Amino acid sequence: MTTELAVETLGLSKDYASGRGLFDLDLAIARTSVFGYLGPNGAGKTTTIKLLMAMIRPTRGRARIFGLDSEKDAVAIKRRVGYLPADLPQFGGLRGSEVVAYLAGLRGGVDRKRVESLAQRLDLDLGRRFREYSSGNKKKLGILIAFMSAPELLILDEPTGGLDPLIQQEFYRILGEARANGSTVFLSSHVLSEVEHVCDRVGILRRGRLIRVAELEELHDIHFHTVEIVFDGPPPLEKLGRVPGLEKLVRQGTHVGFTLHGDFNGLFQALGGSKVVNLSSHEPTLEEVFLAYYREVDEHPVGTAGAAPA
Amino acid sequence: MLRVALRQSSIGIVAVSTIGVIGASIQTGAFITVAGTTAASQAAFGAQTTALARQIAYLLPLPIHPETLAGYVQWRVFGGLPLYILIWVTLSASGAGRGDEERGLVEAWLATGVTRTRLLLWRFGLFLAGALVFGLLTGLATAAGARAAGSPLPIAGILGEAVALGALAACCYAVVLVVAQLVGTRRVAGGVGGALLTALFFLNGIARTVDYQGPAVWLSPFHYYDRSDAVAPGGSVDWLATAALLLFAAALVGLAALLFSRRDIGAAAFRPPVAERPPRYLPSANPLLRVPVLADLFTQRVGLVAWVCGLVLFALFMTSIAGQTGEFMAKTPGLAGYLAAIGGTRGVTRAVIGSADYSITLALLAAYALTLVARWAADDQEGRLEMVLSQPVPRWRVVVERVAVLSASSVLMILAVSVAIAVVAPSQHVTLGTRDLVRAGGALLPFGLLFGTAGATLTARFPRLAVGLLGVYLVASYLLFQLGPFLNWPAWVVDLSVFKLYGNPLGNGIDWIGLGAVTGVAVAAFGAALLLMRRREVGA
Repeated sequence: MTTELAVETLGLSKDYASGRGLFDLDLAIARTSVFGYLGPNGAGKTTTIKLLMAMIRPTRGRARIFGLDSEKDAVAIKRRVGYLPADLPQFGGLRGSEVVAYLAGLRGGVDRKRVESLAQRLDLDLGRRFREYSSGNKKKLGILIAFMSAPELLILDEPTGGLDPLIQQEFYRILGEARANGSTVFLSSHVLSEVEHVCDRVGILRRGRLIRVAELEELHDIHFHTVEIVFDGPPPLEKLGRVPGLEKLVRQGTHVGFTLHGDFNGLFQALGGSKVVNLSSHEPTLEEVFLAYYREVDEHPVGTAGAAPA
Repeated sequence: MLRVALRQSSIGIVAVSTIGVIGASIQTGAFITVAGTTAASQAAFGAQTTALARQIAYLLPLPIHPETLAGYVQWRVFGGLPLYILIWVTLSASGAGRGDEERGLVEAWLATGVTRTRLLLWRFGLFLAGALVFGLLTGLATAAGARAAGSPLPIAGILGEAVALGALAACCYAVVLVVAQLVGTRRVAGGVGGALLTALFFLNGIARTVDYQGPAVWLSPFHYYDRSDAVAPGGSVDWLATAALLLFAAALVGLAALLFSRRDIGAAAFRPPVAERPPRYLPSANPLLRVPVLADLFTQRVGLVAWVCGLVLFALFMTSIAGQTGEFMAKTPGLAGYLAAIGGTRGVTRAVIGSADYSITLALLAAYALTLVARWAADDQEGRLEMVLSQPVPRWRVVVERVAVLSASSVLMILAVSVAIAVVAPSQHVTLGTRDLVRAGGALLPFGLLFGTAGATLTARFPRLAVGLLGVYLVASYLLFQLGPFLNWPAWVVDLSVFKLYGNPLGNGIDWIGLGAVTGVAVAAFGAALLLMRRREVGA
């Protein structure tokens, strides 16, 4: 049922020529879900968002939001959508409180108490002029504007860039509450851990094409850690070889290095009884994850990206 | 870095040099037409010019032998250029001193290892070179015009004036550079720097009017420039005064460099202590921000008040000299045709008020419309339009609101100008009734809207070019209107000028055909703007 979907795109394309743009996007996002839209810079995330917001026109294909045509019914759609662009525009000498009042005036029906609550939770002083805001404060203002009307759909482009960890956690709580109150969230990011943290499903975009829509559990399979261990003696290679998800094991004397998919439980069990001098683990960058994933896809091609609703 | 800075300065240098060259060409070309070719007519012209110049001595220096082309050019060209310099320098120095910093360029340049002093010296050196180019080009245009008119001017004198002009520009630039270190934003630097230079300009002008030679007048760089009159018969360059201007410029640039090196990037050199206040979490309760059109007018209130004040001051000034100007025209045989064309038969002073006051108001209204067009283009390029359209706002409403804002502010300006003219006109022995003011003022509105709606259309397709294209049309309109009749250009060419289409409602009544044509084009442009806004891509 179309109306059960918050967002639906059919063959949505925006061709900027020279291979740039977005191509044949088929996507279906169910209501009250949190959908992560993941991809490296230039993959087409912002282009998708601008198409959904009817800021740009598709070369072909169409998008529907709550069953409404994204272009023809743009105004009706935007009554139900809160939007956070990747970069908030300059509002110069206006105070944060004036920017909020101006945009709330355009939208209508914004609850002042809700604004106050959001500003307090985000620790955002609305009495300061926009030009005095740091990039983090500008992002907070953008988040406040997106959430102030308690919209049914939140379209958020890179929402946590520039936020400090404490405010990031508060943002995740606000996001969770919105979802609990029935909002759907479309969130673009290039931070894998963020998507893992808040999303139910993830769409992975590469060079303008959606290559996979995955459940969160599947994402854990994609995700891996690079681990290095220094032992006080010969490494227990046999035990390590039995650890689920452990790959590419390399030994140099008492040092071993490997990649680990999934959680660390199996590894810690295998290390029982061994004397570990040092253990370091680092999360790969999104680029490294994608490279590994793409290599895997190239070696073992899978079917077309799933478009089933979450 | 040099290339980026040069590119940024080059637009101003080209624009101001073009104005200088065109202005010089018009004035040298117009002299023979206006003053006549006989000794008697030129003597009469000189006498009338001297009388008029006394009325406006606070703007232009007193002329020396204005009955000669050399004397006239010295007065009208080299005497008038400091006003252009004031505007150019204010924009340029506030941009170099603060604008680049707001755009993050200064931070990027300093990160490359360039010292702050060197950076400031680069900018100053580039401006000085540009100012000299401006002076030389204007001088060469003057010399070429005079040669074409059969009265060659002394090249050494012209070069000397060009150097003096460059020195004046450099000194004024340095003044605004210092101001830019003391304030926090480009807008404030431009406002305070411009106000300071204007005060220094009028300090010299008023001293000239009342023949004051006391120590205070030596504070004004314009006074030092005034001491050179090398193009006028028997005149010379005051090299000591010119050197003093350059010396002051060097000292002020040194001071600016010192302040720049001691302050934080993005901050003023001296910051008043900020009173502690609790953080604010509620949105503004200002009801204006929630009402369409009023919200935009509120955010532009400072600029709008400045425009209204500027227009009123112009209207007061032009009306206060209308009688003298009319007398000058009536007694100058070369201007008889022009006077007849503007409706002088119904009263010379009335025709002058209608022609000069309202034409200048038209030009300023068009210029104001262009500032709004530039703002609309910036709204799109800087993402504000995207933010507005992300709210439940139909696209047509954006265009309608923009035009409504332009209309409301234009009506406000026209009302203020009309009141100013009505108040001062009786002192010139002219009484203007409500009907006169409504006809002359009301007819202005479609012209402002023409530039606004055309700008709204152009910004949809050519956001970076819109203001430039319309600005060129405005200047071309003025030239067509001023030069067309003298150079016997075809009527249809002159009719392309907005000033011609406006005519002179006070002197000749409303030109209904012209008004209808402008209204028609404005309505068509409005329709095109609505259509383009509906179809265009935003933030692409």
